[in-house]
Amino acid sequence: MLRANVRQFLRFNSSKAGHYDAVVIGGGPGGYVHAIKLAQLNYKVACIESRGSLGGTCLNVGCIPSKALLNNTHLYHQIKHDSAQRGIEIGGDVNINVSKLQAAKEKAVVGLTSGIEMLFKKNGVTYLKGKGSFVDDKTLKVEGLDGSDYQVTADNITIATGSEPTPFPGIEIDEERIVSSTGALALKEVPKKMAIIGGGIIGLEMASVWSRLGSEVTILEFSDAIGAGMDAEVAKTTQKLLAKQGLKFKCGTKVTSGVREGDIVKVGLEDVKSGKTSDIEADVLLVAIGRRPYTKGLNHEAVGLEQDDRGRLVIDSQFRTAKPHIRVIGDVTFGAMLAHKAEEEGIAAAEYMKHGHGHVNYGNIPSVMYTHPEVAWVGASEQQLKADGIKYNVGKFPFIANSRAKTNLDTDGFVKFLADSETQRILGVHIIGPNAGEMIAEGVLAIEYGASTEDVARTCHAHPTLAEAFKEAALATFDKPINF
Amino acid sequence: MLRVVLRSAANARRFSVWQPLANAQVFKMPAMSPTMTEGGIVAWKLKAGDEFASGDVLLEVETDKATIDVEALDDGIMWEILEQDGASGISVGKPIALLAEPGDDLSSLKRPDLETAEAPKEEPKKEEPKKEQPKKEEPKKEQPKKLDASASKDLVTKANPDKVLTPAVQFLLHSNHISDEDAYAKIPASGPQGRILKGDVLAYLGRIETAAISKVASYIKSKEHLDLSNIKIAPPKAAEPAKTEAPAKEVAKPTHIVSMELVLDSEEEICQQSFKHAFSLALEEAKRDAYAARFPNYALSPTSNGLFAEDIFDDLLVSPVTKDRLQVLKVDFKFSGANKPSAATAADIFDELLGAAPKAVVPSTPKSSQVSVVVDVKYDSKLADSKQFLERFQDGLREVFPWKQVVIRE
Repeated sequence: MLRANVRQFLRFNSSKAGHYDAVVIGGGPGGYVHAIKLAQLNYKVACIESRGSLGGTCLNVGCIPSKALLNNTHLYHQIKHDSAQRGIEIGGDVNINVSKLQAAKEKAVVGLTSGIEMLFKKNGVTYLKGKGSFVDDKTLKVEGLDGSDYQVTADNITIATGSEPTPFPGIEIDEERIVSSTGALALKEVPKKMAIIGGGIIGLEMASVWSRLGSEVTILEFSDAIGAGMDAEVAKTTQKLLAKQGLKFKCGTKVTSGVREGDIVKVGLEDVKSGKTSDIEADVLLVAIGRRPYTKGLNHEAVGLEQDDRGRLVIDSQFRTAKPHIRVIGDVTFGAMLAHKAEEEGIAAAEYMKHGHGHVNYGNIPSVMYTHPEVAWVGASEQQLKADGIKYNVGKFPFIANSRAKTNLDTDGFVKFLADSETQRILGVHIIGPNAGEMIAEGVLAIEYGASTEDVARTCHAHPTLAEAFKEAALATFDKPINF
Repeated sequence: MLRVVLRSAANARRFSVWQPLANAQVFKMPAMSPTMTEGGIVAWKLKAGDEFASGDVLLEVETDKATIDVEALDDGIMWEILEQDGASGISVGKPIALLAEPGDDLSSLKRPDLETAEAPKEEPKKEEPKKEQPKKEEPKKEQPKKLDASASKDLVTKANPDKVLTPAVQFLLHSNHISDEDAYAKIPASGPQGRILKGDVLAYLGRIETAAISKVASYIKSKEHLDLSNIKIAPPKAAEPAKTEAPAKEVAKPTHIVSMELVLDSEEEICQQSFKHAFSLALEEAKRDAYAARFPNYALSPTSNGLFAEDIFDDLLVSPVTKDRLQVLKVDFKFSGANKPSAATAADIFDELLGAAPKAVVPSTPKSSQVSVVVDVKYDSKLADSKQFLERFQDGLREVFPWKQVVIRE
């Protein structure tokens, strides 16, 4: 017994404290990818994660669980409201079981997060469960989740601690009635009325989920348009289509207060232009006004790392801080707060560490919103090009003229190309419509290679597919579309 | 970093199509990192007269941190090596070789003035793109031509024949009776890594202004990098360290802690290190068993075992324990009697892997000894079943070793 134990111990539990070539703080999409890449580049790597499971916000309380809910509620909504016109007759009642819906989500999350743990084992990354903080610039303290306390030293340290929901000043989040995105993903019952502060991607996705299940959802947006960062025309179409699904929009509206009274949340509003005030009530209030860098308890000040006025850790173009062996990637530093941007940086930072060069093209990072229809875009928007004084051509193709969309009875939306008016080089692609999130990959590839719209139009696309709309829109940019 | 350096070194030659020069290019010691001031040459991968293609490794440079391969950005010929293998302490920017363009007649090549070339041009050059781009965006009246031209030096390069011609480019070339070879030789490329784009052909054909190409190329380039130019540093916070200490104290507050004292008598000599290893495993096992009744899948999973299972999908199928019922806070060992302090050979992983008989655990001279272990376990009082978990945990721990005495205190 004793001997067997010793043997097991040596093989699998060898002491985690000690010296590493590189230690990564944070096991989210940036940190875990970075750690695995470093291990593949023959570094002795450890990754510190305090959540208890890997994958960060994205896998645990972000992208992944929200997509599980979005897909399943979309199915439910289709069965309930969209099946008759397709000749599908449902015999009995169609009901939603929220706890099973949540269980299905949980299963996907657990599967994926433990999958990363497996990848760590496969690649030889040491997984330190605990909270990491700086002791000095080469030493980190790990407060283990099991109560242990130890230190590790490292030649290279990468901070990938991510971000957290930005709190709304004056509104206290209890994750029960007043929730952040985390709480909105875990509601145990469908709220009758839901109010959402912020008409960005998180707000609109959560609005879709709960409105499909029967909530009366109101979006409260301070600016005049929803969908932060979208092309203005796409944002307008999005709002129109979502309003058709029953979402209510109050744009140009300032939230002045949000107070829980029993099981009701009272939200005070003020019209930005007129200054007129009003009140609404909701069963659940979601605060989704953005995210902010997370550096709590990191003790980075002690080693002289600087933050900017928005809490982002300051880096140079190679992700290095004031201490060149300490690097920062992902949401906790500059750039868009997107999982795939962090992943790219994870790879690039590892390559910088090993080879002295790496590459992330920040001008070509796609964004996707998984409502229905989906919205996806990459590159510049019309308003950006106007502001930058670049002359451009627009080519658009609506899904109503696309054969596959037509057969699917799913024809809302369009594909829109923005290309330089002289050279016809693609500057931006904006899609609203079925499967936009998958289709945008073609636009990203085209931009990465410096393609002109004609290059896309002269590339064969299978028939009948939604992607044909992509090709036709490219064609429409420099010539005329065939099917419209 | 390297790319920047090479590009600037070859700048003057970028427009060789339009302004043929027969000057050899000075290749200077590249800065592999911003902090690098000097470096050594480990080895040249080419000798004089060798041709190289873009992406080929030219040499290995040794910095204070690492040895790094330096790749060529453009095609060319190694004309003369100025600093030989093994040379060290070469300051950044010092000429280390002379390069020629592909097709240059090496015999008639003009040797550049190395004295002036040595002047440290690295710094201003590195900043060039940064300076130009903001300039380009704001004022349009002041010498727009000159700005475009200087920007295009970086952005419009010689066409790279390794890059496949895109469908639109091919169509345009064929309809204007330009062969692919001519296109690669004559049309300057603004695409990534020297790819000829449709706009480049349009400009070559005179259908659009050449300036339009560099304008869009520099616009795209300006978006490729994070804008780190206007960072407003936040003032250092004073209250932060105090905050972090507070929660740490909370954790240490002794609530609901059960202490177990376990005493073991042995006639054999006990190896301290082995015993500690074994005991920590026993702790894990007892904990796992404690959870098993309630979470059977978890207890069997490789995750909880800390083993790497053959069946990788086990990992994906097991739901985790939602809340820890108990936590081992502290383990104190006390050894008395004739104890062997350590077992050096026990850790030989190769023996383990090869299945060889373990050597160290076998005691050399049997002597009696005693061990007493104190384990503090904290349990979660909010969950009703924590006590049951604790009892199972204690039972589990009792079974592992033939304890002489077990004392439990709350």
